Amino acid sequence: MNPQKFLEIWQLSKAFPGPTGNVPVVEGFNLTVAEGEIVSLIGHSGCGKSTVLSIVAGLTQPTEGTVIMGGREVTEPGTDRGVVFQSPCLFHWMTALENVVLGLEQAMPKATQAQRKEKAGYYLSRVGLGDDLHKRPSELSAGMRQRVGLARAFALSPRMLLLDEPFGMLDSITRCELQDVLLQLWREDKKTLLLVTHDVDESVFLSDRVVMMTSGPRAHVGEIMEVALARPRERHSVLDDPQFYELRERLIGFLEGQADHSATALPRASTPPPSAARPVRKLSAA
Amino acid sequence: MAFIELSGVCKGYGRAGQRTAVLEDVNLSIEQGELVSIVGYSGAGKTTLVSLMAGLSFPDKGTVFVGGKPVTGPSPERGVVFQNYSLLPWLSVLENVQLAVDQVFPKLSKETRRARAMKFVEMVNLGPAANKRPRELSGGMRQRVSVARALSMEPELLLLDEPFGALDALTRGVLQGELQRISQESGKTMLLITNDVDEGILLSDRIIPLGAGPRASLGPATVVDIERPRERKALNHDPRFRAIRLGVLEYLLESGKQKRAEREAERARVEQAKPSPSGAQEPTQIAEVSP
Repeated sequence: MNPQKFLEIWQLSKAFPGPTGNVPVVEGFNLTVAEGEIVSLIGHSGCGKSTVLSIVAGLTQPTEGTVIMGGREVTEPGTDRGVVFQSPCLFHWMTALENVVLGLEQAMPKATQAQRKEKAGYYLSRVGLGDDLHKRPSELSAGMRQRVGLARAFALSPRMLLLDEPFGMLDSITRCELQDVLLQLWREDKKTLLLVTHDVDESVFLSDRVVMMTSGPRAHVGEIMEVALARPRERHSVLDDPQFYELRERLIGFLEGQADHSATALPRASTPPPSAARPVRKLSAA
Repeated sequence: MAFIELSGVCKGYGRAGQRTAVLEDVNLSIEQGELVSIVGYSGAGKTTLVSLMAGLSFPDKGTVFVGGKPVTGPSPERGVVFQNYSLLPWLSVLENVQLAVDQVFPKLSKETRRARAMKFVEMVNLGPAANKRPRELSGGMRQRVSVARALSMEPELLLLDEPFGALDALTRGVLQGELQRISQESGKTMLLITNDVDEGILLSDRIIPLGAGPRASLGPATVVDIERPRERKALNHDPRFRAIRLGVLEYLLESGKQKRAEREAERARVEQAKPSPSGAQEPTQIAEVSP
């Protein structure tokens, strides 16, 4: 297998049934990801980012096209691909440690329970929860719960991790903290990461390449942007780097272009938002 | 005395013995006509701070003065916009706004009150949707109603508690633009609570970080010395914007780190004090094993 072509997504299309026939959400999506690369998919809500991710995870079948990972076609979910969702789906009656151990029972069937506990504890301490192993999800903040989610995903040692807006539910500062945690975990074992996000800063900070998706229907790869910021990335130096702001602007420009495009191409069916073109009423100085 | 003056404010929740101190020694003064934003982690106590100024709760220690008077309860002089809109579902957009006008200006004629409500509905660009009910509106439109309602009471102070937190990035950008216009046109004193540093810089005259909780207190204020109207894309190039952004973000991340370290030290102390540390040893052992 060519490590430059660890993941190949070829001519991917997915249509969902709609009131007037099938709606092609994604059409002709092509992408190749190298082993150990961090790639993010960015686009407006509803453009089909998560659909692509879910097909790579094997949770959704494509209408057309193929996904090949590590030389094998993806047809169903497997332990070689870990998925992290927006909220980490923890069992509320189990502690953080037990939640991670449960995942390991699937991934390490031959290991002893002690070995699993050791591994789970190791990853939980890596994400900064070494002192919270025996807490239940209800005792943890949203940010800490997502740390458990990341620890579990990495502990399972998949070949690739798929993250679907993993920090979307967190406030923007906690999000920064978790991005650091994610990069720290990645630095250790260089997993291939495919990340869906709509946060421009997040995609630049984390990725080697940012894949910009056009707005749906028929969403596909619009542009691909290389992020040549040096690694390991440290927030202070990244935020101080003029290059960061250039990349950021290029992404914002693309997304704004897509928003204008979708507004003209796809007028909302029922209630259009009051048009911004209305003359602005002057407020008499109070 | 400044228009808003908080000095030595402490506030906690819970019964004696299990009390959690949320805010500790908060000092803040805001001049009339100023737009100040407070940026902090969720759960740090930002909403608690708003409640104190709105008169919905009272400090354990310290004083809260607005317009030279101590805050003793809610008042139409202080309008609040919450993240969850809080609209009455059976009333139309116009009626939701008029309800506030009717309460605050009972002496005006019915026509005047209606006209006033309509004026504010139009100010937030909802004229065409005036007769719609909340459930027929998108999140962004609902939040506009909430802003119109708060403004219609002609408050001296507008408290905005994460007003755009529940909206997607595009809608948020549009409403930020509208808030910027309204704030400039009306010249009202506004306090904006947010967890988005960019939003804070875009909109305000001064930005103040609220450190991580528990026992959160305010960090150093930064004057946002960038001419208006501000435009997101242009800000991106502005070295002043970058410097403020970096400063505020680092202050917050550092305070989070510090609070975590404090918590860990506290826990270690409690565990050492225990006679038999069964189970307490486990984490430290595990941390040393490699996978």
